[in-house]
Amino acid sequence: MTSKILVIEDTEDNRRILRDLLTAAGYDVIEAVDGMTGVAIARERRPDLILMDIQLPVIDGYEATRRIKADPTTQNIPIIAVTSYALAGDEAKAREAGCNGYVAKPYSPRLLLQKVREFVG
Amino acid sequence: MMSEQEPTPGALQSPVAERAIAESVVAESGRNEEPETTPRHKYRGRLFRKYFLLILSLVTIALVASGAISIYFTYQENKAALSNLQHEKAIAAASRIEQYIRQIERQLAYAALPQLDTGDADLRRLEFLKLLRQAPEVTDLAQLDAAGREQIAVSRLGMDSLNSGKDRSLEPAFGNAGRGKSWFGPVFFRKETEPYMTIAIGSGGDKRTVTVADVNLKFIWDVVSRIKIGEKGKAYVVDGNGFLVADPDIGLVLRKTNLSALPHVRAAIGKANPDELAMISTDLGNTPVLTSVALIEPLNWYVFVEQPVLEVYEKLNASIWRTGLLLLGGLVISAVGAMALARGMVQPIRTLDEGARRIGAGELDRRIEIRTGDELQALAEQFNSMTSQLRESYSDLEQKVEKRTRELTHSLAQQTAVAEILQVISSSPTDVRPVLEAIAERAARLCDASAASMYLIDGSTLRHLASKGPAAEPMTQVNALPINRDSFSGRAIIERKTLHIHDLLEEAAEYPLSAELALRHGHRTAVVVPLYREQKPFGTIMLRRNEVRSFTDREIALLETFGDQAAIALENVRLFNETKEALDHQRASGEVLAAISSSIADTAPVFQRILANCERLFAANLAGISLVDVDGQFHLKAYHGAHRDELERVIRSSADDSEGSGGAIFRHEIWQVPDVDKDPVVPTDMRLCCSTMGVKSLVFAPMRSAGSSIGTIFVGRDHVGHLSETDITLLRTFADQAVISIQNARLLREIQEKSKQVEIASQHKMQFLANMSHELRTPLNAILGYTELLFDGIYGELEDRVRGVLERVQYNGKHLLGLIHDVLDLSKIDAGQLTLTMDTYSVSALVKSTVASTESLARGKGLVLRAAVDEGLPFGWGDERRLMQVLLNIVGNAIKFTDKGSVDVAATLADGSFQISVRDSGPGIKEEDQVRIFEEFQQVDASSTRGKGGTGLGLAIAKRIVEMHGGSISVTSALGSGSTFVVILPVRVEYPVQAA
Repeated sequence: MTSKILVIEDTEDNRRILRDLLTAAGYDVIEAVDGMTGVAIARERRPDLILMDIQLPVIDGYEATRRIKADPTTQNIPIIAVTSYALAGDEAKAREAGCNGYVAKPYSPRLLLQKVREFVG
Repeated sequence: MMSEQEPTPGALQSPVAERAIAESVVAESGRNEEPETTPRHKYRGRLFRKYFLLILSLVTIALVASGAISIYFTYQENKAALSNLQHEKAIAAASRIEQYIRQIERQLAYAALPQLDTGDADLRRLEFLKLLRQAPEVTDLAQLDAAGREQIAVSRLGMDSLNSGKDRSLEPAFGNAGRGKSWFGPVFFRKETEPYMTIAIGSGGDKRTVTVADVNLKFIWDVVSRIKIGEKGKAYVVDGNGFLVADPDIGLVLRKTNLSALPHVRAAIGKANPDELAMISTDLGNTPVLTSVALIEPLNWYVFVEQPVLEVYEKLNASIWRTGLLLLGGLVISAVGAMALARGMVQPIRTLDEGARRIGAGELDRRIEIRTGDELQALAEQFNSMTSQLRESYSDLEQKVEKRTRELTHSLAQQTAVAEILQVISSSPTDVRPVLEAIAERAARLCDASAASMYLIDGSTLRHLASKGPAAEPMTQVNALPINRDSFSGRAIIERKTLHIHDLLEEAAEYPLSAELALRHGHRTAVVVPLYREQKPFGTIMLRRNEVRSFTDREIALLETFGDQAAIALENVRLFNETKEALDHQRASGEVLAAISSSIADTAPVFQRILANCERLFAANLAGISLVDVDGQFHLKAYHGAHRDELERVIRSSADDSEGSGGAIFRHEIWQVPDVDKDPVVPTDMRLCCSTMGVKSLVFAPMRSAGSSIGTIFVGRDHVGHLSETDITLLRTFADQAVISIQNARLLREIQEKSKQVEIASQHKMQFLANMSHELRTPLNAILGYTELLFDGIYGELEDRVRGVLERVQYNGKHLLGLIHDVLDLSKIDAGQLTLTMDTYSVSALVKSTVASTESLARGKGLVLRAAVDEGLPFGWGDERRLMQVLLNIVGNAIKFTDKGSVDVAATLADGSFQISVRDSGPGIKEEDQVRIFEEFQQVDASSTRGKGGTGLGLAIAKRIVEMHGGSISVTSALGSGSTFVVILPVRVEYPVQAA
């Protein structure tokens, strides 16, 4: 059974990169372009992993993460923050919100894939 | 010693009392009372003792010496005399024995005469018998013929025999008898009881007969016994072998005693002439004896005469005893004499001492009586005359003292008055009135005046200050006198001299005003003394009498003294007030300064302090500070006093007129209004306001800043008059201080404003940087992400040319990312936002990871990368990640710029700091570039670094990070010979490091 990965990302290019990378790697990729939709989809589709951008429309990645982690039905889904907030303290903030992993942009797709594989086999 | 001393008072008392006295003397000397008592006791009797001992010892030495010499010589002479006597006795005994023997020999020789040898033996026998009769000591007598045969033998003891023919040729007597010569045989004993001796004489005849006789030596004993030597002395005879021949004790002889063991006998035997002086020896009983010897020549016997030494010296000892007793007697006499002599010498001295002490004690009536007729008496006379002179001087002195005491008593009253006044002066330094009153009171009393008054010059008049005395009351009503020639006070001032008027009424023409007053108040005689300060008169002191009686010179002099004192008192008050004022001003100024420094942001406390001091120091009933606002109006910023609102209204309206406080501002000068009511310049509303508040005079001081006036301090007082120069100076200071306070507050506000702006700007900058970082990363992520996906063939296989271009895209994308990182870092550092995460780190691990991260790079370029870290380096304290960034940058640069050779990393510890060096064999850096490379965006010229990549920010960031750790980074290099970068890091750094 292929793992489902939810990508919450507002930039089309970056969404496409993840889609192409993860599809090529054999994962099912679901997408959301804002935080609110992301939370809803996560609740609805129960993905195996969520890649979460932080700067998102409607609600930002921190808030989305908090909501997903607050919902008992979704709280066990691992979340990797994939963000351009790469300054000191940003990773801590992401983890505080409930993220299980953190990858700063720009990332190497290969390294990201490694990180993903840590969470879904 | 005590007994030889003259009895002292102490010696006469009981020991207990003596001790008590000694203790009391000690106690007294301890208290240092009667200091002459102790020495007198101490030295008393010393002189007497000294003289007595001196005389006594002189006499004693003389006596003892002469006695000893006399005894010595007496002894020697007596001894010699005794020896001679003994020797003579010995010689006499010897000669007597010799005579005795010679007589026997002669008789024998006669009986042996050869003429009798006629052949008639009987004749010979008769002759022999006659001999026996004549010489009782001869016991046997025999004649031997030439052959030794006995021809005749007669004996007292046996039968005579004739021609017995007995052969006696073997007897020594026969053998030794020579012709006509006698032979004396040795002593022998018959029946062991009696000593005998054989005498043989050869006859000179043809028949050569020998006559032999045995002689009983008992008869020598008689001779010896008769010799008397003292009581116990004796004489004895010893033969040539030392055997005793004759001795008063016949028993010794019969016992055949040999005396040759005795020293004197041994010394004498064998000597031909032993009879020298007597010697001391011992007898048989070992008693010491004095002995002499004489030789009996024909017999070779010795006569000894001896006497026990004790007996011999008995007389001698007696003589010594006598001499000793005489000596003792002499000593006693001399002691008595010495005592008398010493007392004679000391007594007058003691009398002198006593006299001198009495003079010292003040008993000048006593005379010292000494009748010695010598220098001591002269000395005593000197003392006596000195005493009488002293007596005269004393009585003279007493008279003088009495006179002087009278004078002193009088002047003491004056002195007391003067001193009292001085006391009053010192006890009231600020108030002159009590002093002047005290002076007037004393002056009146001591100079016996009806009244004493004091006046001071006040403008053009003499103002009355104080009057005292029995008739002083009317004087107090004269408040002021004109300074002119109509009054003697005025004239004293004008002429600057003391004036003494015998009778004012008589001098009415000369001093009309004074005469008028005199008539009114009833005084007649007066004296006035001007008071001077710095040679200028400033007042007078005056005495008056209500009768005509002149003041004495002394009284006038005293008045002048009082005048001087009054001047001093007034000067004191002036100086005191000046000092106090200066001090007050200084303190006030200091208080305001303190207020300024303690409230930089707020002017209110400073203004309050200034106004409080103005009120206090200028005796003001109002004081205020008004400032020109932006609207050009005056506003009352601080105020002490009543009716604030009304005052504020008046001040505000006067801002732009040239009068009032505005006037002070536009004049840029102090403006004094000494009398508000009379000054036409004062605006009406202000005058009205002042009169409401009871203000009579005003002072305005402008507050000036940067050439323009910004406000004014004003002071209002309830009396007419100017502020003094010193007060004006202080007011100016207050104005300046108020300005400083205002400026301070403004500057502080500006600074606070600026720093707030800076802070906001910094926050904006950081926000901008964060946004920039985010916004740059997002597109970069797309660029780099797509590129990598392309490389990974997600979008299909790539042509080589495309791949090549894609590589450049990726490279430039990464370079852009590096730039973004570095710019962010630098910006953070500049904004003070970069914080170090301090923890322990290991230099060794740091170097190892650096090498591990860069060695693939070095290997790719074919370079040797080496690391040498000292063992046992301590752990450091710092931000490991940032330090790693520094090392990576430096090592990365070294590898980047070195095309062949090696890069060496070394770490050591020196002076408490890590020293990490990175040496490469690259092209080296020009000297002028060695500083620039640590600046932002500075790479060594573009051509040489082209293609090397890098942002040009790495070293700048490295330098900042190292400096944040309290360390330093430097480079040594020369073109063509490589570069060495050295990082020095304190092992432990106190973070944050204080900015240099």
